[in-house]
Amino acid sequence: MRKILDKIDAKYAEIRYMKIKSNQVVVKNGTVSAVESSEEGGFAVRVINGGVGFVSTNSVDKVAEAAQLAEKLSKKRDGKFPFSQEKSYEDFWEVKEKRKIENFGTEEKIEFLMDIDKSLSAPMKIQFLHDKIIKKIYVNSEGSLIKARIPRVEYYYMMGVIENGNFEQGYRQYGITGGYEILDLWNFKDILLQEEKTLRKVVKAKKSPEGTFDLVVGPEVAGIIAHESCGHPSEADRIMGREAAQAGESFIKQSMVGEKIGSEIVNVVDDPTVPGSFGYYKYDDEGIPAKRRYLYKEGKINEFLHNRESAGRMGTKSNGAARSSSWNREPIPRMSTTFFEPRDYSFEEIIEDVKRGIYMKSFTEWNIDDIRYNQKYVGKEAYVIENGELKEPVKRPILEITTPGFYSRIDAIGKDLEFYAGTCGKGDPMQGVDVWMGGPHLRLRNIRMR
Amino acid sequence: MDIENLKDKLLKMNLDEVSLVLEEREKRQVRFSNNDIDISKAWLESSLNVFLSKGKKVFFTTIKQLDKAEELLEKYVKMIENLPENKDFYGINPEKQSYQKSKIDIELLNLDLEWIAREAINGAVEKGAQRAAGVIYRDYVKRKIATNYNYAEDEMANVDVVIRAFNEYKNAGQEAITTANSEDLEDPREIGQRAGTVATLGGNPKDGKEGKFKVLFHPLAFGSLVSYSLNLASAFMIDSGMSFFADKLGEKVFSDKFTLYDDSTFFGSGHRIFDEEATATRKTVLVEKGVVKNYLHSYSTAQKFNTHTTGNAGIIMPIPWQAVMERGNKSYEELLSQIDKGLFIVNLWYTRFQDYRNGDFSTIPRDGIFYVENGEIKESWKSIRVSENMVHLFSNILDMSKERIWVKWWDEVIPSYLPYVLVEDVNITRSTL
Repeated sequence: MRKILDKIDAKYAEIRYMKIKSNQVVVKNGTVSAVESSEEGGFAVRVINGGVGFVSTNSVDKVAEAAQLAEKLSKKRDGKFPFSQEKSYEDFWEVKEKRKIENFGTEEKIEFLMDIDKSLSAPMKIQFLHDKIIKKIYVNSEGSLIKARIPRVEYYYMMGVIENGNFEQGYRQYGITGGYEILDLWNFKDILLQEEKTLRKVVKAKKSPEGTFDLVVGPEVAGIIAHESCGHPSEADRIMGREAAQAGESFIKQSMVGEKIGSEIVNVVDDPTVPGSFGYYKYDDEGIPAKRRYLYKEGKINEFLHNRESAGRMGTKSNGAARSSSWNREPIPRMSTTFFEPRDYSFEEIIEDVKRGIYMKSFTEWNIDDIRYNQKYVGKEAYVIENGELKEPVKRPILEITTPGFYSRIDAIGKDLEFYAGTCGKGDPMQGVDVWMGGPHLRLRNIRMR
Repeated sequence: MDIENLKDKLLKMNLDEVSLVLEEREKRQVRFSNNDIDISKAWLESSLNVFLSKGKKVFFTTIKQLDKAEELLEKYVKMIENLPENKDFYGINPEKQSYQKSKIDIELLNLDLEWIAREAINGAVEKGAQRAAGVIYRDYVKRKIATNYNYAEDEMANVDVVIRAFNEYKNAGQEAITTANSEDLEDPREIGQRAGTVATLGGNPKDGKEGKFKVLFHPLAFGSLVSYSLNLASAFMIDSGMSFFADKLGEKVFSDKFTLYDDSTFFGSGHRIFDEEATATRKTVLVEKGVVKNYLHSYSTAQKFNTHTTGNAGIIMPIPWQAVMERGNKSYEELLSQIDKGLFIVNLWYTRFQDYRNGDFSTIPRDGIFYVENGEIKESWKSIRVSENMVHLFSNILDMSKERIWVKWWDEVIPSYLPYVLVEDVNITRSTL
């Protein structure tokens, strides 16, 4: 790789090699629908001259050709392209599994999923169990050489129940960077049994009342909100317009650092160094050391997520947010683990002075506009709160709110931080990357609910 | 790689059925934003999709290290012995197929994508856009398939042009067209001009209002609704119960104006002549005059549903290839003139369901949201959401335009040939704080 790199005429160039070995088992309604395994490896060459050229190939024989083509493509634009200049590093990092992926065989996976399937009486249930081991080599023209080995395991389910013609659905994803110790962290059988119980309760519940309420959201809801309306709008490439024709831009402008976005008790962090997190990394995919970033701090817009390109264009340094989902994708600014920093309220303290409220513990449908300003979350498991006590379950409460509207109404933050996994989509071609998102319970005052 | 030879080798390893799909791909992309090119990309890739079965035991893989293919396959063949039976598997299609002739427009391979990008940008700016972003794609793929029963080859190229233009108020207009035919590819400057015109027409958009509106959906916007719906018409999703099409076969559930096909025989970007088990593709009527006529099937799902395959076998589940919708008799202008108080919506994104079974969902308009009064565009809106039910929405289709457009966009819209669609009683909501 180094020899090929040295032959490229470039202001900056890099070659990434990535090998992904993965396995997946899918069980649907009592049947093993799919058993898949794959091994893939490939190279991506990125070259900066007057423009940027990017070529990938999964043929070792074509790497030199790919490098020549990337150089040629980088000269199709005649201008300046200020990638940030960064320190170079040589390192090897890896995450070790406590329960090795290779020791958890296909038969065991099938037995595990089928056991859960059989324990459920829900008429609709699909489970996915997916593991992968990623090996990476990164070299660049500044002298960096970084090697890595990253194991990841994820579990995903969808479930639906019907009662008297009414339907309720649930789905959730769990994932870690590590091995099958994921089964020690969460008891999925219990989680799905509980989910079925919840859905059967909610399917019979009355529609959530409309009106103005205090709103308490659970860690799962806090997590999706941190991801969607803090993490995404803080991605510097969106702020610059680089994603405008796809995932969109941001309501945040470069000049808005320091501006108030919410209550001063709110800190939202993106941190790739959380041990075991699904989006964990030590160096990003441009060879920059990972670090914790305060995106919103004390209720103010504080920091953006950068790769070398966005940092160069904004005249700053990368903060190590460049991620690439595969060997054939360019590294762009991405989240890792995005969460509300916990404070000191217990759940009981959060609800004790709520006279008339809604507790949205988890969510189902959600979406947000392409500048990350107007968003909607529909509760899955939810309850009425009356005079500090949880009362009857309610069906699908709807929150439609702006980003500053949400963050400015937060007046209490719990201490019970939890994380949930997700696959974050962005880029063109699409790059799904593994992330965590989370938070503790949050309380908001005087919120219009439907 | 000789996949027939490889298939024969695999069959000698005590397997019952084998399907091998070799794809060799050369793909080019130019991405641009702020009126300038950001990156030029190329992919030189090959992959082998593998399906193996022994009795009712089945195994899937995609191999992207072709030099190691035989070694990996030997390993996978050993794995199959220990797998449980898939009771939903009924074999791959054993019938001898006759295929459409492979069709490719090689003129597409000579296009200068950077030139197209610059022309599209210039077109948008000429019409008053302050800035434009977008992507130009060209995909060239050669596919070969070998199964126990069939062998076929296909070669295909297509080009996508996506441009999103903005005026000074960040109001956007977007074009996202696709073609497999160089003669259909418009002057890129004109594509950019259309996006620029929509962006500037919007002026400074006002906050939209809630309520029930008659809405004219641009083919791109309706393509988003259709794309999500087609995935739920897959027999895999029907079988899981997670689809608003489930248990509706033969029932009249939508407007009698609504007729929808999956049709990869139509020469567009989703054109292909065989599916992943070598069944010849075909035109499948999914909805005819509001009646659900078919689901999307592989050979196996068709057996389970006691019907015939529709040639939509994917790696794990049946998947749609290309959406085609019947058109109406009126022009886009005539449909617009039928709106007393309503909306014209150009694009939608972030469609999510709270209830797959019944079809409750919401989605967010973008790239042109216009309030229409007495058939004329009065003003541009922002910050609204379509909060609807898919069955209700498709039931309220009033009419379609006689014009149809090829659209495809990012991961939201599959290759589709669709008219403008007029729908009444569409529920619009917005943030309340």
